[in-house]
Amino acid sequence: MLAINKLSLTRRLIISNLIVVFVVLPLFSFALINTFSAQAELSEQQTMQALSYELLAKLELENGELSDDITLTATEFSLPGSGLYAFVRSGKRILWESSSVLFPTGNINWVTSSAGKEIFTTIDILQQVHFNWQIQVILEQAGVTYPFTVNIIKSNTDYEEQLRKFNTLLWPWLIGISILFAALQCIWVLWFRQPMRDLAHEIEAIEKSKQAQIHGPYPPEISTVNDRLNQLLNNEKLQRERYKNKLADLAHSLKTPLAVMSTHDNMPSEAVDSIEKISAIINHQLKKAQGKASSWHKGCDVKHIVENLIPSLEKLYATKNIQFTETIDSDARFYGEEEDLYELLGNLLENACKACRHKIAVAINNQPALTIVISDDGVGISDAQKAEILQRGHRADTYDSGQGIGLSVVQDIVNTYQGSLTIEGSGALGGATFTVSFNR
Amino acid sequence: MRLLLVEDEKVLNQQLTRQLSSKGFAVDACFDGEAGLFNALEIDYDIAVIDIGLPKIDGFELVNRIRKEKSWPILLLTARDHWQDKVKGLNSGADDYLAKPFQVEELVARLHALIRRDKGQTNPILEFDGLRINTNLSEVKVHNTAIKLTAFEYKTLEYLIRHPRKIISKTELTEHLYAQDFDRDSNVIEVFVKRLRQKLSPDQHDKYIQTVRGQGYRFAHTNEQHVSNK
Repeated sequence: MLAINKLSLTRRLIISNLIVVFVVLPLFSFALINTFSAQAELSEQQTMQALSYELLAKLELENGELSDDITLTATEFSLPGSGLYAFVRSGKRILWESSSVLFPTGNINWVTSSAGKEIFTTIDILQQVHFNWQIQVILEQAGVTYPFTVNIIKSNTDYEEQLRKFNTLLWPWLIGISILFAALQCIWVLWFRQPMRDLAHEIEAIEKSKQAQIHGPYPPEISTVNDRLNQLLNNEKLQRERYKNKLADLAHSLKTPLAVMSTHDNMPSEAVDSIEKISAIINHQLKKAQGKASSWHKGCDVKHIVENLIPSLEKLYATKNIQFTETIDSDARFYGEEEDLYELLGNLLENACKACRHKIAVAINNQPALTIVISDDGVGISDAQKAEILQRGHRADTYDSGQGIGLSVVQDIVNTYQGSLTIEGSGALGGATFTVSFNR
Repeated sequence: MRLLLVEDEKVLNQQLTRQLSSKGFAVDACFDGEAGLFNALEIDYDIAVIDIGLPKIDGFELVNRIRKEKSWPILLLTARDHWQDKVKGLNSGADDYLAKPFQVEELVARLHALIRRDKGQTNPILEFDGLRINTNLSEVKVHNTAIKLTAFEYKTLEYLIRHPRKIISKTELTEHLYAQDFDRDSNVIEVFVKRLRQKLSPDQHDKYIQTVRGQGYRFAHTNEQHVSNK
């Protein structure tokens, strides 16, 4: 059931079309052939019935005996071996037969019937199937009744010929219709799929931040989905902006009083430590609250963010004269919040700025998934430091001020997006190498 | 060093003004972006400290508009320690940022570093033929003997040293030593310079600070040495 539900719309259409071509059309043909053969049989039956009535009208009794003087209008009764025969019987004894009868009649398996009842059956004559129409009548003379059975027998050759001709005509038409139908179906599938493809392209464009909304136009059925999707995008955007503003307000209203306290003239040093601790917790919790994977990821341009960050870091660390080397896939995208990527890259790069001597290498590739590698030419990181850095990421509320906070934020963001962070103590440039990988 | 402070939180603004003044800065305090912009465009500051969340004109916009006219360094104060804000602030023209809460010592150290960078002096310790000045500690030594200077004497010396070989008028010195609302008297400058010369080199009055007649003063010593950070 699940497999069926997962089938693509195109496959669904193709399967339904194959069913139409290979099941429905042959069944339809079968029904057509049956109807035609029934109709042809009925036609034969009616002809033979009419002939039998003519024969019945010409039956005459002379002194209790059947008169021989019977002449039927249909010429086939006079032509020997014409395939149309007439008999008048009394039981199995043949009292009269048409001149077309040239075959021995002794072996014919006559069908018995009751008086006044008309029967239409098949009968074998000379190992050939013939239609047999028969009716039993009772004639009366001088108070004596005489039962007679009238048989009209007709070869089924004409009938078979009609069926053969019908079949000969039907199958090419059927194949032609099937091909035409299949071709129309293909066009229909393409036509039907076009709005879906357009929609997919538009969604992809939204993911790549090339557009903010779905534009269309689309058929009414899809337009409903689009409208809802656009509404969802707008709501989510508004909600995120509201959330971001609330966080900014919260940060401002919490941290400005802390700044007032920490810059107070006579603030004891223990109080300053506590203020710093409170500030670190607020920072961390605000960043954690912000680092929430959204249900809709438009995807952000990684290269653009790196190119924004590097001049800022060059300004902050101007005295170090850091040389940045960037190798970044132009289509590298991070499917998450832009703010999270800023935090991730900003903290990793600032960490490298602090640690490096003069060189930092940034390598970002998008294949098969987003991988960010940042290396520096500093002294590197020992195994003990690595373990400490990675562990800190799990200890949410116990940060001390100073180095490491940035990396724990990185670890938190990586965890939020189910990515992985690995640290190499001594990388390509001689210092530490931080590698962040994401699944998508 | 004349400093522009733009911070809307009244108590923080007052505390910073008091503490920065005690560290030798002449502080002009503003409480909103509009007043900050007016002062920034009117007065030639040495440095500015600007909060991001300001009424009337926000900090980013204020920095952007100041940067179109002025080149002195700007430090941003931010409540949100986020890279997006930092990048926005630095790209709009700020030179450094400091997240709230902070300690005044850290702010002062950053301000000195920015001023040094702006004047092309990367080292906090400067030496000129026996005269050694630690700009971080406001400490002055002549031939390893510590010289005790008043706050204004030190400010005068530091401003002259920050602009070596440039003729500084009394008006310029006054503007950079006093905050806007201070009652100024240019004769006081002559008194400071006289006292400074006596303290630095009692026998050779013109050894470090020269008088350029009719124009002002000049820190004329060319024998500047950058020494390692001790």
